Amino acid sequence: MARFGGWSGFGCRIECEGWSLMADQEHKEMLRRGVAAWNEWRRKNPRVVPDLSGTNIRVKELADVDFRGANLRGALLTGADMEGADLTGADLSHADLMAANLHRACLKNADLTHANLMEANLKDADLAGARLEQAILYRADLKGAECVCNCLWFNMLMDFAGGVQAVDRSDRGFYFEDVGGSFVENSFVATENSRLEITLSDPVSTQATYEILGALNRLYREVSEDELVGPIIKIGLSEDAGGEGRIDRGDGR
Amino acid sequence: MNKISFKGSNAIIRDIVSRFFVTGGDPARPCGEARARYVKAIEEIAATGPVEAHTLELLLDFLIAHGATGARLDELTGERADELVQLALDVETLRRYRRDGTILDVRVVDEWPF
Repeated sequence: MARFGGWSGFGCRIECEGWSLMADQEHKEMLRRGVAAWNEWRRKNPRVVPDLSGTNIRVKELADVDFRGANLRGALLTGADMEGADLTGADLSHADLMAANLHRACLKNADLTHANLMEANLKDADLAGARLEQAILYRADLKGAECVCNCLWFNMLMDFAGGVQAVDRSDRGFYFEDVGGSFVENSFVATENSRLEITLSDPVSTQATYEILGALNRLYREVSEDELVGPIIKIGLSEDAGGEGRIDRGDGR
Repeated sequence: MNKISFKGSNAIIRDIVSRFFVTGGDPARPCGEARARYVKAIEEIAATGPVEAHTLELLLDFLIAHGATGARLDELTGERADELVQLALDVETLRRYRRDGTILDVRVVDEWPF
């Protein structure tokens, strides 16, 4: 049952079953003052549920922000830096988090249904108990996150996508309990791997082939812990003829 | 049909293509971050070596974008500049072969497990 509470420093406060709701304008104003002020305000007002639903949150520097339990439904947080943010139990359904940095963010029990997480950095984020049905995960980086799912094909997909690891049922990981058939239609998952296909002139010199292979290998290895897989070359034969051969890594010049 | 194909990280492969291959229109421009941080080293290496400052900038931008540590970048622009020059020559090799038509086409194909 809702009941009126007192006045807070930022406007009228309504208390509802132990939680308080405030007019969102004050909350937006509070956030504009920066993360430090916001977190301090939250510390002093632990019973207030921030309501920033549907808000275009223009403050992008939100690292370590305390959004625990906040109502961020439909909020625009595109590109926001929320590294290390605490979003435990937050309602982020339908929120736009495209390209947001959620590295090490705590999203335990957060509602991310229908959220746009395209190209978001979710590396090492804690997604235990988070709901992700119909979230868009296209090219999201989920390295270090864990997925709890008994569906084999979905485990394969998630393992493939951004490095997320499927795990056995436990308290960790995030759940896709109710994905049903609609999940794939409505959601997207990143492809972590791509194939680079380079078509060469015909004829092509061996030297040019090896120089290209070597150059690509060195550039790739400089920024990656992994090796390029392959390379595969097809020289002088049509694809139908099956003239495919694996060769040594092209470091020779 | 002459073709080379590799499989690797989507992000890195796409970035290599967009930065180092001219696939139509203007070549990639340095984003300025490398210039801001390593302008002196870039000019010194370009003045004494076989590679252009522009290529060094493109390369350093690429390394920065993919998380090269400050220590590694300092190394490459300092005592191990020869490695940076080698990588820059690799960039120039790719661009040269793209320009002269040895590389006819570059395509990135996403891989799915099913």
